[in-house]
Amino acid sequence: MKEDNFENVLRELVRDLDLPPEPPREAMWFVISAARSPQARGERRSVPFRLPVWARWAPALAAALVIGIVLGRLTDFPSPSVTSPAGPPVAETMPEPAAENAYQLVTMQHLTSAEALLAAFPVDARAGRTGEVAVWATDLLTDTRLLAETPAGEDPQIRRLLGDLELVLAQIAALRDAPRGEDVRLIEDGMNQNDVLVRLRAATGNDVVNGNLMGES
Amino acid sequence: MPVSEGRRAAETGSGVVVEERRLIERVLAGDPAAERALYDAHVDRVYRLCYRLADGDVDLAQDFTQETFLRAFDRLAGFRHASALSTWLHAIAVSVSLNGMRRHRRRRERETGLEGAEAMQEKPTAEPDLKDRLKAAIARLPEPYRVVFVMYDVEGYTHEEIGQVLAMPTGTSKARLSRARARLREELAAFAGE
Repeated sequence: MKEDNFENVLRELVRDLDLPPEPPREAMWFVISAARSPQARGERRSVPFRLPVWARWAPALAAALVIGIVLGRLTDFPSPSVTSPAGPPVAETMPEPAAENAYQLVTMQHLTSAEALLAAFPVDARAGRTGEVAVWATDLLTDTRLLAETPAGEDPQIRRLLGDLELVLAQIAALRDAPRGEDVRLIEDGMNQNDVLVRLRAATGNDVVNGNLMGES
Repeated sequence: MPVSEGRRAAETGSGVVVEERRLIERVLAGDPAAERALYDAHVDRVYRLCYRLADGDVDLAQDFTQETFLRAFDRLAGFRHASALSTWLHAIAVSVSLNGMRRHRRRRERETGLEGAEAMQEKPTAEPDLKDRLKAAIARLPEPYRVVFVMYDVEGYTHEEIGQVLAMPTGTSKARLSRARARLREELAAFAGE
Protein backbone atom coordinates (compact mmCIF):
# COMPACT_ATOMS: atom_id res chain seq x y z
CA MET A 1 0.00 0.00 0.00
CA LYS A 2 1.32 3.44 -0.84
CA GLU A 3 2.02 5.77 2.03
CA ASP A 4 -0.62 8.27 0.96
CA ASN A 5 -3.22 5.56 0.71
CA PHE A 6 -2.30 4.24 4.10
CA GLU A 7 -2.57 7.73 5.61
CA ASN A 8 -6.08 7.98 4.22
CA VAL A 9 -7.07 4.56 5.46
CA LEU A 10 -5.62 5.25 8.89
CA ARG A 11 -7.37 8.60 9.07
CA GLU A 12 -10.72 7.00 8.34
CA LEU A 13 -10.14 4.15 10.73
CA VAL A 14 -9.16 6.43 13.57
CA ARG A 15 -12.27 8.49 12.93
CA ASP A 16 -14.36 5.33 13.20
CA LEU A 17 -12.81 4.10 16.41
CA ASP A 18 -15.32 3.64 19.16
CA LEU A 19 -16.05 6.84 21.00
CA PRO A 20 -15.43 6.65 24.71
CA PRO A 21 -18.66 6.23 26.64
CA GLU A 22 -20.00 8.98 28.84
CA PRO A 23 -17.75 9.15 31.90
CA PRO A 24 -19.45 7.84 35.06
CA ARG A 25 -18.76 11.15 36.74
CA GLU A 26 -20.86 10.75 39.86
CA ALA A 27 -19.75 7.20 40.55
CA MET A 28 -16.11 8.18 40.21
CA TRP A 29 -16.53 11.24 42.40
CA PHE A 30 -18.27 9.08 44.96
CA VAL A 31 -15.21 6.84 45.20
CA ILE A 32 -12.74 9.72 45.15
CA SER A 33 -14.55 11.52 47.97
CA ALA A 34 -14.72 8.39 50.05
CA ALA A 35 -11.08 7.56 49.50
CA ARG A 36 -10.10 11.04 50.66
CA SER A 37 -12.12 10.85 53.84
CA PRO A 38 -10.28 10.60 57.16
CA GLN A 39 -11.76 7.14 57.61
CA ALA A 40 -10.08 5.95 54.43
CA ARG A 41 -6.78 6.77 56.07
CA GLY A 42 -7.30 3.95 58.44
CA GLU A 43 -9.25 5.37 61.31
CA ARG A 44 -11.26 2.71 63.06
CA ARG A 45 -14.99 2.81 62.71
CA SER A 46 -16.53 3.56 66.07
CA VAL A 47 -18.49 0.85 67.78
CA PRO A 48 -22.16 1.33 66.99
CA PHE A 49 -24.52 2.02 69.82
CA ARG A 50 -28.24 2.33 70.09
CA LEU A 51 -29.55 5.84 69.90
CA PRO A 52 -32.88 7.15 71.10
CA VAL A 53 -35.56 6.51 68.54
CA TRP A 54 -35.86 10.13 67.55
CA ALA A 55 -32.16 10.39 66.80
CA ARG A 56 -31.56 6.97 65.35
CA TRP A 57 -31.53 8.05 61.75
CA ALA A 58 -29.71 11.33 62.29
CA PRO A 59 -26.23 9.79 62.40
CA ALA A 60 -27.17 7.75 59.39
CA LEU A 61 -27.90 10.99 57.58
CA ALA A 62 -24.54 12.37 58.60
CA ALA A 63 -22.76 9.20 57.55
CA ALA A 64 -24.33 9.18 54.13
CA LEU A 65 -23.59 12.81 53.60
CA VAL A 66 -20.05 11.81 54.31
CA ILE A 67 -20.24 9.43 51.39
CA GLY A 68 -21.55 11.98 48.99
CA ILE A 69 -19.33 14.92 49.75
CA VAL A 70 -15.71 15.50 50.34
CA LEU A 71 -15.00 14.74 53.95
CA GLY A 72 -11.39 15.17 54.46
CA ARG A 73 -8.51 17.08 53.23
CA LEU A 74 -5.83 14.56 53.72
CA THR A 75 -5.10 11.18 52.30
CA ASP A 76 -2.35 8.90 53.31
CA PHE A 77 -1.74 6.67 50.37
CA PRO A 78 1.87 5.60 50.56
CA SER A 79 3.11 6.51 47.14
CA PRO A 80 6.00 8.55 45.89
CA SER A 81 5.41 12.07 44.72
CA VAL A 82 5.24 13.47 41.24
CA THR A 83 8.15 15.79 41.45
CA SER A 84 7.62 17.65 38.24
CA PRO A 85 4.39 18.56 36.54
CA ALA A 86 5.93 17.72 33.26
CA GLY A 87 8.00 14.88 34.59
CA PRO A 88 8.14 11.56 32.83
CA PRO A 89 5.70 8.87 33.79
CA VAL A 90 7.17 7.07 36.72
CA ALA A 91 6.34 3.89 38.52
CA GLU A 92 3.76 5.14 40.95
CA THR A 93 0.32 3.87 41.57
CA MET A 94 -1.98 3.87 44.51
CA PRO A 95 -1.56 0.47 46.10
CA GLU A 96 -4.46 -1.78 45.17
CA PRO A 97 -5.26 -2.57 48.80
CA ALA A 98 -5.80 1.13 49.45
CA ALA A 99 -8.36 1.35 46.66
CA GLU A 100 -10.05 -1.82 47.87
CA ASN A 101 -10.14 -0.45 51.40
CA ALA A 102 -11.79 2.70 50.12
CA TYR A 103 -14.55 0.69 48.49
CA GLN A 104 -14.97 -1.47 51.58
CA LEU A 105 -15.07 1.54 53.82
CA VAL A 106 -17.67 3.38 51.83
CA THR A 107 -19.75 0.22 51.57
CA MET A 108 -19.67 -0.28 55.32
CA GLN A 109 -20.54 3.36 55.92
CA HIS A 110 -23.44 3.09 53.60
CA LEU A 111 -24.77 -0.20 54.94
CA THR A 112 -24.47 1.10 58.50
CA SER A 113 -26.52 4.13 57.53
CA ALA A 114 -29.11 1.96 55.85
CA GLU A 115 -29.28 -0.34 58.83
CA ALA A 116 -29.90 2.58 61.16
CA LEU A 117 -32.65 3.88 58.93
CA LEU A 118 -34.42 0.55 58.53
CA ALA A 119 -34.15 -0.21 62.25
CA ALA A 120 -35.79 3.08 63.09
CA PHE A 121 -38.31 2.98 60.28
CA PRO A 122 -41.21 1.09 61.96
CA VAL A 123 -41.24 3.40 64.98
CA ASP A 124 -40.70 6.56 62.99
CA ALA A 125 -43.36 5.65 60.47
CA ARG A 126 -45.96 4.98 63.15
CA ALA A 127 -45.01 8.21 64.89
CA GLY A 128 -45.89 10.08 61.72
CA ARG A 129 -42.33 10.93 60.73
CA THR A 130 -42.59 9.31 57.32
CA GLY A 131 -41.75 12.52 55.52
CA GLU A 132 -38.36 12.82 57.18
CA VAL A 133 -37.57 9.16 56.74
CA ALA A 134 -38.64 9.29 53.11
CA VAL A 135 -36.29 12.18 52.40
CA TRP A 136 -33.44 10.33 53.97
CA ALA A 137 -34.33 7.13 52.12
CA THR A 138 -34.20 9.05 48.86
CA ASP A 139 -30.62 10.09 49.55
CA LEU A 140 -29.65 6.58 50.55
CA LEU A 141 -31.30 5.25 47.44
CA THR A 142 -29.04 7.36 45.25
CA ASP A 143 -25.96 6.14 47.08
CA THR A 144 -27.16 2.55 46.88
CA ARG A 145 -27.42 2.76 43.12
CA LEU A 146 -24.02 4.41 42.83
CA LEU A 147 -22.41 1.79 45.02
CA ALA A 148 -23.84 -1.00 42.91
CA GLU A 149 -21.94 0.42 39.94
CA THR A 150 -18.59 0.48 41.73
CA PRO A 151 -16.29 -2.50 42.33
CA ALA A 152 -18.03 -2.87 45.70
CA GLY A 153 -21.02 -4.15 43.76
CA GLU A 154 -18.98 -6.91 42.19
CA ASP A 155 -19.23 -8.99 45.34
CA PRO A 156 -22.28 -11.20 44.69
CA GLN A 157 -23.57 -11.02 48.26
CA ILE A 158 -23.15 -7.26 48.50
CA ARG A 159 -24.74 -6.86 45.10
CA ARG A 160 -27.79 -8.87 46.11
CA LEU A 161 -28.03 -6.97 49.36
CA LEU A 162 -27.80 -3.64 47.57
CA GLY A 163 -30.48 -4.79 45.14
CA ASP A 164 -32.88 -5.73 47.93
CA LEU A 165 -32.00 -2.58 49.84
CA GLU A 166 -32.73 -0.51 46.77
CA LEU A 167 -36.25 -1.91 46.57
CA VAL A 168 -36.98 -1.21 50.23
CA LEU A 169 -35.54 2.29 50.05
CA ALA A 170 -37.53 3.04 46.93
CA GLN A 171 -40.69 2.04 48.75
CA ILE A 172 -39.83 4.17 51.78
CA ALA A 173 -38.88 7.09 49.57
CA ALA A 174 -42.31 6.87 47.95
CA LEU A 175 -43.96 7.43 51.33
CA ARG A 176 -43.19 11.10 50.97
CA ASP A 177 -46.16 11.49 48.68
CA ALA A 178 -49.05 9.75 50.40
CA PRO A 179 -48.10 7.70 53.44
CA ARG A 180 -50.65 5.12 54.50
CA GLY A 181 -50.55 2.59 57.29
CA GLU A 182 -50.94 -0.19 54.79
CA ASP A 183 -47.85 0.98 52.89
CA VAL A 184 -45.77 0.88 56.03
CA ARG A 185 -46.93 -2.65 56.78
CA LEU A 186 -46.13 -3.80 53.24
CA ILE A 187 -42.65 -2.35 53.48
CA GLU A 188 -42.07 -4.09 56.79
CA ASP A 189 -43.29 -7.36 55.28
CA GLY A 190 -40.90 -6.93 52.38
CA MET A 191 -38.01 -6.23 54.73
CA ASN A 192 -38.82 -9.33 56.76
CA GLN A 193 -39.26 -11.60 53.77
CA ASN A 194 -35.85 -10.71 52.39
CA ASP A 195 -34.22 -10.44 55.82
CA VAL A 196 -32.83 -7.14 54.66
CA LEU A 197 -32.22 -5.79 58.15
CA VAL A 198 -30.69 -9.06 59.35
CA ARG A 199 -28.38 -9.17 56.35
CA LEU A 200 -27.42 -5.54 56.82
CA ARG A 201 -26.49 -6.24 60.42
CA ALA A 202 -24.52 -9.28 59.39
CA ALA A 203 -22.68 -7.29 56.75
CA THR A 204 -21.83 -4.46 59.11
CA GLY A 205 -21.01 -6.63 62.10
CA ASN A 206 -24.03 -5.45 64.05
CA ASP A 207 -25.70 -8.85 64.07
CA VAL A 208 -26.80 -10.92 67.04
CA VAL A 209 -23.19 -11.64 67.90
CA ASN A 210 -22.90 -7.99 68.80
CA GLY A 211 -26.39 -7.84 70.20
CA ASN A 212 -25.26 -6.56 73.55
CA LEU A 213 -23.58 -3.64 71.98
CA MET A 214 -26.82 -2.83 70.24
CA GLY A 215 -28.92 -3.27 73.35
CA GLU A 216 -30.64 -6.27 71.80
CA SER A 217 -29.56 -9.09 74.05
CA MET B 1 -3.47 14.18 10.29
CA PRO B 2 -6.94 15.41 11.25
CA VAL B 3 -8.13 14.06 14.55
CA SER B 4 -11.36 13.35 16.30
CA GLU B 5 -11.67 16.63 18.15
CA GLY B 6 -9.13 18.74 16.40
CA ARG B 7 -6.26 20.42 18.04
CA ARG B 8 -7.35 22.22 21.12
CA ALA B 9 -6.57 25.79 21.78
CA ALA B 10 -3.87 26.43 24.29
CA GLU B 11 -5.34 27.18 27.67
CA THR B 12 -2.73 29.57 28.87
CA GLY B 13 -4.71 32.75 28.47
CA SER B 14 -4.12 35.03 31.44
CA GLY B 15 -7.77 34.89 32.54
CA VAL B 16 -7.79 31.13 32.55
CA VAL B 17 -4.54 31.00 34.46
CA VAL B 18 -5.82 33.38 37.11
CA GLU B 19 -9.04 31.41 37.48
CA GLU B 20 -7.07 28.21 37.71
CA ARG B 21 -4.80 29.60 40.39
CA ARG B 22 -7.78 30.77 42.42
CA LEU B 23 -9.44 27.39 42.11
CA ILE B 24 -6.30 25.62 43.25
CA GLU B 25 -5.95 28.00 46.20
CA ARG B 26 -9.51 27.22 47.23
CA VAL B 27 -8.88 23.50 46.95
CA LEU B 28 -5.76 23.81 49.06
CA ALA B 29 -7.74 25.84 51.60
CA GLY B 30 -10.10 22.92 51.97
CA ASP B 31 -13.08 24.05 49.93
CA PRO B 32 -15.00 20.91 48.88
CA ALA B 33 -16.90 22.84 46.21
CA ALA B 34 -13.60 23.85 44.64
CA GLU B 35 -12.46 20.23 44.60
CA ARG B 36 -15.60 19.27 42.80
CA ALA B 37 -15.23 22.18 40.39
CA LEU B 38 -11.69 21.15 39.55
CA TYR B 39 -12.86 17.58 39.03
CA ASP B 40 -15.74 18.66 36.82
CA ALA B 41 -13.49 20.85 34.73
CA HIS B 42 -11.06 18.07 33.87
CA VAL B 43 -12.73 14.72 34.37
CA ASP B 44 -14.02 14.26 30.83
CA ARG B 45 -10.68 14.76 29.16
CA VAL B 46 -8.81 12.71 31.74
CA TYR B 47 -11.33 9.91 31.37
CA ARG B 48 -10.98 9.93 27.58
CA LEU B 49 -7.22 9.65 27.83
CA CYS B 50 -7.44 6.87 30.39
CA TYR B 51 -10.01 5.06 28.26
CA ARG B 52 -7.76 5.13 25.21
CA LEU B 53 -4.69 4.05 27.14
CA ALA B 54 -6.75 1.25 28.73
CA ASP B 55 -7.49 -0.05 25.23
CA GLY B 56 -11.16 0.77 25.62
CA ASP B 57 -11.73 -1.06 28.89
CA VAL B 58 -14.31 1.04 30.73
CA ASP B 59 -13.63 -0.47 34.14
CA LEU B 60 -9.94 0.17 33.90
CA ALA B 61 -10.60 3.66 32.58
CA GLN B 62 -12.77 4.37 35.62
CA ASP B 63 -10.12 3.06 38.00
CA PHE B 64 -7.36 5.03 36.31
CA THR B 65 -9.40 8.23 36.34
CA GLN B 66 -10.20 7.90 40.01
CA GLU B 67 -6.59 7.21 40.84
CA THR B 68 -5.47 10.17 38.76
CA PHE B 69 -7.63 12.58 40.73
CA LEU B 70 -6.77 11.03 44.07
CA ARG B 71 -3.12 11.44 43.26
CA ALA B 72 -3.65 14.96 41.95
CA PHE B 73 -5.54 16.15 45.04
CA ASP B 74 -2.92 14.53 47.20
CA ARG B 75 -0.11 16.42 45.50
CA LEU B 76 -1.76 19.63 44.48
CA ALA B 77 0.25 21.57 47.03
CA GLY B 78 3.33 20.64 45.03
CA PHE B 79 1.95 21.94 41.75
CA ARG B 80 4.20 24.85 40.78
CA HIS B 81 2.27 26.23 37.80
CA ALA B 82 5.19 25.41 35.53
CA SER B 83 2.60 24.10 33.10
CA ALA B 84 -1.15 24.23 32.74
CA LEU B 85 -3.03 22.25 35.35
CA SER B 86 -4.46 20.09 32.58
CA THR B 87 -0.96 19.17 31.42
CA TRP B 88 0.00 18.21 34.94
CA LEU B 89 -3.18 16.17 35.34
CA HIS B 90 -2.67 14.43 32.01
CA ALA B 91 0.90 13.56 32.95
CA ILE B 92 -0.46 11.87 36.05
CA ALA B 93 -3.17 10.17 34.01
CA VAL B 94 -0.61 8.77 31.56
CA SER B 95 1.58 7.55 34.38
CA VAL B 96 -1.31 5.95 36.25
CA SER B 97 -2.71 4.37 33.08
CA LEU B 98 0.56 2.93 31.84
CA ASN B 99 1.41 1.48 35.21
CA GLY B 100 -2.11 0.21 35.60
CA MET B 101 -1.99 -1.46 32.20
CA ARG B 102 1.31 -3.14 33.05
CA ARG B 103 -0.25 -4.55 36.19
CA HIS B 104 -3.33 -5.58 34.25
CA ARG B 105 -1.28 -7.37 31.60
CA ARG B 106 0.78 -9.20 34.18
CA ARG B 107 -2.39 -10.37 35.88
CA ARG B 108 -3.90 -11.40 32.56
CA GLU B 109 -0.77 -13.30 31.60
CA ARG B 110 -0.88 -15.22 34.85
CA GLU B 111 -4.52 -16.08 34.24
CA THR B 112 -3.82 -17.00 30.65
CA GLY B 113 -1.05 -19.27 31.83
CA LEU B 114 -3.56 -21.14 33.91
CA GLU B 115 -6.30 -21.22 31.35
CA GLY B 116 -4.15 -21.34 28.25
CA ALA B 117 -4.93 -24.90 27.40
CA GLU B 118 -8.65 -24.26 27.39
CA ALA B 119 -8.28 -21.08 25.39
CA MET B 120 -6.24 -22.87 22.75
CA GLN B 121 -9.12 -25.21 22.10
CA GLU B 122 -11.67 -22.47 21.62
CA LYS B 123 -12.88 -21.94 18.11
CA PRO B 124 -11.64 -18.77 16.48
CA THR B 125 -14.17 -16.00 16.26
CA ALA B 126 -15.26 -14.41 13.03
CA GLU B 127 -12.57 -12.71 10.97
CA PRO B 128 -12.05 -9.28 12.44
CA ASP B 129 -12.59 -6.29 10.22
CA LEU B 130 -10.05 -3.60 9.57
CA LYS B 131 -11.18 -1.49 12.52
CA ASP B 132 -10.76 -4.39 14.90
CA ARG B 133 -7.35 -5.09 13.43
CA LEU B 134 -6.37 -1.48 13.94
CA LYS B 135 -7.45 -1.59 17.58
CA ALA B 136 -5.47 -4.76 18.12
CA ALA B 137 -2.48 -3.32 16.28
CA ILE B 138 -2.57 -0.16 18.40
CA ALA B 139 -2.71 -2.27 21.55
CA ARG B 140 0.37 -4.18 20.37
CA LEU B 141 2.44 -1.09 19.67
CA PRO B 142 5.42 -0.59 21.94
CA GLU B 143 4.31 1.60 24.81
CA PRO B 144 6.23 4.77 23.84
CA TYR B 145 4.79 4.65 20.33
CA ARG B 146 1.30 3.73 21.48
CA VAL B 147 1.05 6.66 23.88
CA VAL B 148 2.10 9.19 21.28
CA PHE B 149 -0.13 7.68 18.59
CA VAL B 150 -3.15 7.64 20.88
CA MET B 151 -2.55 11.17 22.11
CA TYR B 152 -1.84 12.68 18.70
CA ASP B 153 -3.82 10.74 16.14
CA VAL B 154 -6.74 9.62 18.29
CA GLU B 155 -7.15 12.26 20.97
CA GLY B 156 -5.88 15.32 19.18
CA TYR B 157 -3.06 16.54 21.38
CA THR B 158 -0.39 18.64 19.71
CA HIS B 159 3.23 17.53 19.68
CA GLU B 160 3.95 20.41 22.03
CA GLU B 161 1.36 19.16 24.50
CA ILE B 162 2.62 15.61 24.22
CA GLY B 163 6.14 16.84 24.78
CA GLN B 164 5.05 18.59 27.97
CA VAL B 165 2.99 15.70 29.27
CA LEU B 166 5.64 13.07 28.54
CA ALA B 167 8.57 15.36 29.29
CA MET B 168 10.34 14.96 25.98
CA PRO B 169 11.28 17.16 23.05
CA THR B 170 8.71 17.82 20.39
CA GLY B 171 10.95 16.15 17.84
CA THR B 172 10.87 12.92 19.83
CA SER B 173 7.10 12.99 19.82
CA LYS B 174 7.09 13.40 16.05
CA ALA B 175 9.61 10.62 15.57
CA ARG B 176 7.65 8.23 17.75
CA LEU B 177 4.45 9.04 15.90
CA SER B 178 6.16 8.32 12.62
CA ARG B 179 7.42 4.98 13.89
CA ALA B 180 4.03 4.12 15.32
CA ARG B 181 2.37 4.77 11.97
CA ALA B 182 5.05 2.74 10.19
CA ARG B 183 4.40 -0.21 12.46
CA LEU B 184 0.67 0.04 11.95
CA ARG B 185 1.21 0.25 8.24
CA GLU B 186 3.20 -2.98 8.30
CA GLU B 187 0.58 -4.72 10.39
CA LEU B 188 -2.38 -3.54 8.37
CA ALA B 189 -0.87 -3.44 4.90
CA ALA B 190 -1.81 -6.94 3.83
CA PHE B 191 -5.34 -6.68 5.10
CA ALA B 192 -5.94 -3.15 3.83
CA GLY B 193 -4.64 -4.03 0.42
CA GLU B 194 -7.19 -6.76 -0.10
